[in-house]
Amino acid sequence: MKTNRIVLNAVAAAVLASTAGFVAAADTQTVQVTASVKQVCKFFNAPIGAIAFGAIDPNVDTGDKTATVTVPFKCTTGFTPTITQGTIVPLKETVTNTTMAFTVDNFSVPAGTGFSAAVNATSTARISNTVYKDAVAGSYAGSIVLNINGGD
Amino acid sequence: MKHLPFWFLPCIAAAALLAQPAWGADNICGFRARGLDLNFGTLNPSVNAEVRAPLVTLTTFANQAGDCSNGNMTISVSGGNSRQMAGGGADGMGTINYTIVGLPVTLSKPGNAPPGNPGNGYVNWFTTGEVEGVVQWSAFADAPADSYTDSFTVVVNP
Repeated sequence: MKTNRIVLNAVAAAVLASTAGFVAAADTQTVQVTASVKQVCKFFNAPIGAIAFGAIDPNVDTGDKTATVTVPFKCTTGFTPTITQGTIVPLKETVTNTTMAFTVDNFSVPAGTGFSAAVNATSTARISNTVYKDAVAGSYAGSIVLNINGGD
Repeated sequence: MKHLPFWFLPCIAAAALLAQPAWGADNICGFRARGLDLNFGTLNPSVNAEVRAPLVTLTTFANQAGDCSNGNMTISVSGGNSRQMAGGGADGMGTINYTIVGLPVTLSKPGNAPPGNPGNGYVNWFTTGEVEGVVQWSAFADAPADSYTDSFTVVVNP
């Protein structure tokens, strides 16, 4: 019977210990976190700077008269956009309203590096010699619409 | 002293096991985080602004076996509030840093549950308020287009 008493005491201690263990426990929760980054592009400092052909001298210049076109833009890192041309308004002389057509080559476009800093797409604008050789002297102005994909 | 017979010992052992609460590890002075997912949604780097995502409403609870009758409990983010999400795309290179705001918070314990509440064990709820995640524009301005994930552990002590 003495043996029985010792065993019973041990069982009672086990019951108390199991309850006390919950009192000291801490609780935790795991939180899942998600996000996605959009693929997006924007022209930087639009409207972009003018395409300047400068002075054209039909007596001296030969071949196409060219001007460099630089278009700064920002894109999500790693995304290479496409820059396309929309409506072109030919160069027009302000007094006589005579016009000179111009064209723009396809753009060379680098991949975007994010929105901290802009990168430049480049191209060349051209006025054919056959267009400017008989042009009226004066100042001309025209325009071109550019589009970049990935806009929101 | 009158002693119990030998055959009664297995009955006492079984009683010891039954003394464990039916809801197991929930039987503490603790909390639950409602609305567990922290979703920043789609981050648009062309819009220069920080993004805040409501995280969860933390709700403390106690039940009759947990000691919630005295003192305070502190709810905090294991490992600190500054976190980082990792991109899961093919490049696997992008990361976005973000911060958990609203934690740690110290709360008075809500008091123990009354006895006779078996089963769910959740009583004495009260709400601590919203906890938010914040990501600064500079953290995702140059991040590749991708899906980003992370997970963290919120812990209450004691």
